[in-house]
Amino acid sequence: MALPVSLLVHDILLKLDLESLSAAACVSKILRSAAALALSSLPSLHLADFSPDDRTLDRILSACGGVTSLTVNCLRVNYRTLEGFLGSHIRELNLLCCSAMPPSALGSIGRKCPNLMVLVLEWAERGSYDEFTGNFHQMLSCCAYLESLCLKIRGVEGPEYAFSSEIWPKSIKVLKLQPALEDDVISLVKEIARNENWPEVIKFPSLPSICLLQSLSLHVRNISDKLVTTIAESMPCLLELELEDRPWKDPLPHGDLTNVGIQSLGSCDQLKSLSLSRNRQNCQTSFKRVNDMGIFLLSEGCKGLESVQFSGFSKVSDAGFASLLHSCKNLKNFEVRNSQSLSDLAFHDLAEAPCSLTELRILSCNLITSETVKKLAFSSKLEVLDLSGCRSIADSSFYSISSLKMLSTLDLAGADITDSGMSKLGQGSAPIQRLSLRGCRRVTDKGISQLVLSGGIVSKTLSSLDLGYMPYVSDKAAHAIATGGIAITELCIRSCFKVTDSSMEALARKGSLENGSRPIRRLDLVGCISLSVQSLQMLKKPLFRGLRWVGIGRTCLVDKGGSVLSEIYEERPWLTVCSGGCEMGCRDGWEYHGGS
Amino acid sequence: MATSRKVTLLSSDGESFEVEQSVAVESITIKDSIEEGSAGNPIPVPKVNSKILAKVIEYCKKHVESAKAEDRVDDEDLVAWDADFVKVDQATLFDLIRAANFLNIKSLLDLTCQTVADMIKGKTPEEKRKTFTIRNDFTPEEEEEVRRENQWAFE
Repeated sequence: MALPVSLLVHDILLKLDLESLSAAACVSKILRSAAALALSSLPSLHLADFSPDDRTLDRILSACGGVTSLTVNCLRVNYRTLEGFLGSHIRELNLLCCSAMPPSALGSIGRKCPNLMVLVLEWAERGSYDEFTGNFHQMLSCCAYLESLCLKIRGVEGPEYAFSSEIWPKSIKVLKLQPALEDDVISLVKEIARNENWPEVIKFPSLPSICLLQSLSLHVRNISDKLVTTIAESMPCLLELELEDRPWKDPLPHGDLTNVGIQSLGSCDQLKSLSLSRNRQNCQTSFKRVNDMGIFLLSEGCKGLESVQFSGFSKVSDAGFASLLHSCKNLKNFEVRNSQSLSDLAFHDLAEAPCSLTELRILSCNLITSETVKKLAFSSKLEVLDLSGCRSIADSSFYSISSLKMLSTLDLAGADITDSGMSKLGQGSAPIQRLSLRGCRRVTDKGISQLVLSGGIVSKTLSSLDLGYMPYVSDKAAHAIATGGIAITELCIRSCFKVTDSSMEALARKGSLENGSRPIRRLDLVGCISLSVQSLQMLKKPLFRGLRWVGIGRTCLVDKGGSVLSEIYEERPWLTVCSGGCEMGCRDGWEYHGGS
Repeated sequence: MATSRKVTLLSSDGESFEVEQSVAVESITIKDSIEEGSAGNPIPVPKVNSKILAKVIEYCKKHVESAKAEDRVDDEDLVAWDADFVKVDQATLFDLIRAANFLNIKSLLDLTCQTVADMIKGKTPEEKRKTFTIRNDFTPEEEEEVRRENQWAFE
């Protein structure tokens, strides 16, 4: 190329992603040394979209000595592999899906990384409660500059940890603890707020609060007024609040969230983001003691809200939700889940009010129809539209959807749409990248072909497609995707029982043709019962180049695959083959993979 | 506003180009030599031949004009214009990179380097060799070693 090396490294190679850089190293001697220089000056490493094995991770880490911010999907990683890489140079550490990390790792992270500013840990419950607490305290005492701490712990029984501590780093601005004991959380909130040795003066509103905490996220057993009012009173300068609970039974009146609690949030007048959810996993319950009045008072107090997420507010009607939409002029992100009363009426004024919405999610609200979608045609800034579970959405929505020029994510799972809607979408001007049609039983091969072979905008921008649980999706659709969906790298054909080996073959060759089509990187084949064990051979080199994750649960590939699976692992150790039936990337089941 | 001054640039193969000073100083190299007073008139631009210099001047003119324009909607058009500008053969593209580097025109350097980066992305090593006509100069042992280290990225 005859370019000066420093130009090559700093101006060209450093614009590349990690994989292109590593591949460039294999081209020639000059590129090998230039790539090595570029890799060693990368300041951050983001390995979240695949789960490396220990060997691969070790190779990557040894090449990237200059990294101070590290994000790794640790589904298949031993802490030992990471340990050697940690040190006082690490400022940010995001360890996701840690299915096999012992509690001692937490203490070790603290000791090795005293300059840590951001720590995110997704953890599968392991070891004893005391072990965890001891290590947690050690980590807190070592990391005096910690600004952002996020601990997500998942386990079989839904563990509860106590995070109370006397030593909270004074610099802490962002705190996310999932799950936590409610009583401990109340004392924790008071401890943090009191951290600056500023005693009861919090009662005097004229004095500025110097509580640094800006963002708080807590998952507790039961959200109560006491919890919410403690937070509102202790942290009036809060910018972001997320609370989720998962009660085992209907909460009693004195231990539940009511209009009083909601109203108290009105005193956090700088609040930009609010999320309140009641998870129905353990008990079919909701926030029964919050109604429109509470929401009116909230929307009066927190006019600056830019993001609102409400889940489980069964007594709030269109009037309540509409008051938020109209009062919060800067609202960008609006999400309502599981509301049986939210209907098109809440949105009917949307066309008149200037709309700054960029993300709208209305999940499992059966009264929402295409009428709401039509009102959205005026929200030309909309980037994300999620209407999954809204069964009354029909083809007529596509006239409006197709005109949304900034739309990149569209989720219509369970909607009542047909092939004719797909045709409209294929010809429209929405540059959609992520599309979910999960459970749209009336969409067939014909519709999918019209979507990806139309030559329109969508066929060029679509990168992630979810066709799960669609009984009329078969080989023809897979072939269309392999030839036409040039940018598609993530595909879910879960429970598409008509899909056969022929589809596997077509998808395996995608990306190796000269038409610029990108290869499939993540593939969900769970429940594709028509696949034969022969199709496993296609997971070997040189087919499915670049594949990172494949789900084969509930297929014969799991039972009969045996020796072939070992061969696949030997030649492609960086490929994660999930036999457990997890969703894409094991995002919902990583905590059960420990020790593999 | 002062009347636009013109300067003359002399390419390596002896051709002169008269341009507004505001356009010429998009190049920090030229700007510095004018300010230091060390530039003669015409200003010699060694290493950059007339074909490339003409293109560089075209780029600078377009960007100076767009910056002056009242109508900021031109941003999208400028991006499209830039995309067309770099639709050239590889040799010209690399010459433009070298020129932008020598003349220190950051936006042109970023644009041309990003174009090359986009050509490198997503390809296997063999495809990259083919695109840029690079010879594989590894010994078989070296090739085996470097492939083993990096195969996770493309296999």
